[in-house]
Amino acid sequence: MGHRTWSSRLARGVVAAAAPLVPRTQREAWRAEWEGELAAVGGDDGATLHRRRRSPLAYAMGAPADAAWMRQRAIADLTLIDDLRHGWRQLWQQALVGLTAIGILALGMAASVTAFSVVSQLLLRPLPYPDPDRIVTLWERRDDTPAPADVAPGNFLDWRDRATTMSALAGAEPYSYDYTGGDRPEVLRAVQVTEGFFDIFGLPPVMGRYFRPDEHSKGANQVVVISARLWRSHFGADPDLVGRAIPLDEVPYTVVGIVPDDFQPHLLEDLPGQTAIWTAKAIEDYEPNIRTGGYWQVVGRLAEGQTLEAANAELDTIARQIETERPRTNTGSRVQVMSLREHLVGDVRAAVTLFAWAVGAVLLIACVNVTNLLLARGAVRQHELSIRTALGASRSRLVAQLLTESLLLSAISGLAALLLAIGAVRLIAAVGPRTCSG
Amino acid sequence: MRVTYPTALVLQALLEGHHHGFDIMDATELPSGTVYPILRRLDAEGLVRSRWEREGVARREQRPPRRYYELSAGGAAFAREAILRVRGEAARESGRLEPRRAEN
Repeated sequence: MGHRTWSSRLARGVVAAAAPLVPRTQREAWRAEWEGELAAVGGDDGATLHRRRRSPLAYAMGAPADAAWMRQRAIADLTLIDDLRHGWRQLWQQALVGLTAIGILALGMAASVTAFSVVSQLLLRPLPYPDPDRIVTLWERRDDTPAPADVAPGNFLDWRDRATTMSALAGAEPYSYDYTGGDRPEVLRAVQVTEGFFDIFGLPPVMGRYFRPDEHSKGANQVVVISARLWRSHFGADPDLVGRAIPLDEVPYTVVGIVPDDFQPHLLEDLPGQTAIWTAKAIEDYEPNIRTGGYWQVVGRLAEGQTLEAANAELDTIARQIETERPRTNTGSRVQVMSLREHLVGDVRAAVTLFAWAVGAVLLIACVNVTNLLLARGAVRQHELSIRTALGASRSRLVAQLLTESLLLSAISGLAALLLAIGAVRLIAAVGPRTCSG
Repeated sequence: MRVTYPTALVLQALLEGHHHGFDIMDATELPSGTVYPILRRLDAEGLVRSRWEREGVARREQRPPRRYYELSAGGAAFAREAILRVRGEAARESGRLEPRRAEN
């Protein structure tokens, strides 16, 4: 090893002086590397391992630039973490301001998310059935009671026989069964449906099939399709359930199919809870004569190329024919055909839209409030920012720090808002109208 | 990764078998303040692998161990492609890329 000359001493001095710039964790290795190289080039007398082309000092002149580069890189890696830590400390130190801002933002965001969930579910999301715009609901209207009313079986049978604008019409009668196959008897919400009910919606079963036409006759109709929810909750999603009998009102009903979760036409909103089972309706002998006091809900599918207006016009004509034939029961009886979507959301559309706009305004107000809060805090922090500027922090550095703090605030608020929104959406699904529970 | 003219020179020196920082400085005639940051960047990108010289070798020569840089497999392919590209650009602008080499 060549003896040390003034140049190599100076070179080592440069490296030693630059070393503090290197992040502490890398400093020792960095210094060892430079000293290893300087030792290899040796002294000024040329007694060296490395046939050098410049003096040791010339080799070492780049050490400060190298050290500064390493520091800069470490800063780039650490700035965000430091800023987050600093932001958290700021929040913690002024917990009241922080909590207020988080509370305001969380409420505003949660309300917006909830409103959007409702709007999306009610107005934006397509119904889960094929060609859903052709699915309609039919209601009776009487001159003395203008609100749409449930349908009397006799009228339904006439509509079904005569309407040509419909490719299918089916009735659904609310019902309930005592299920006695579990640990204790239980009342299951049910619907008895006429022939072709499920075909109108066009949703395939999860397993098995829907009812065959011959199963809608007396004596052959001890068959049942059950909801996927009931299948999971009461039968552990048993794949062999289809074909087995379950006791309903102490009579064995054979399970022929499982209805998917998406199938929620919400026709029978007067009963709480969701439909658990569907059974095949066999028309009773007396039912064609029931013309008033309807208790069925009727769905239909528009025939290819037919419109809602054409269906309404035709059904109106049919209602007038029945009125002529049966003036005692059907005077003033008319039909209203409306799309399934209109039935589901028609009466809440305006309210939901207004609600969404109102909530948007609330979010805006929340943002303005939080901005005011942060501006006020900024005025208080003027001193801190001045000191940081005096210590060499650039304007962009301060902006990055403040932005990181805002980001932290937003992230915490967003998380709180998410939890609030989940709770709110569940609450609405539990108490809200028809399709909100979808 | 953006390849500047000095980076291409460092890559070429590595390809030619220069493995220590100061050797690469001599091969490229670039200052250490340029060569080292380039080596560290290449290292961080995985194009270059660095390791310490074996302790025994250094001890035998009575000096501290040196740090040793070599191109990774991906780095060698990257270097060849980058040199061709930079050489093409340089040729278009002012003639040709001709790294100056140490006379050893």
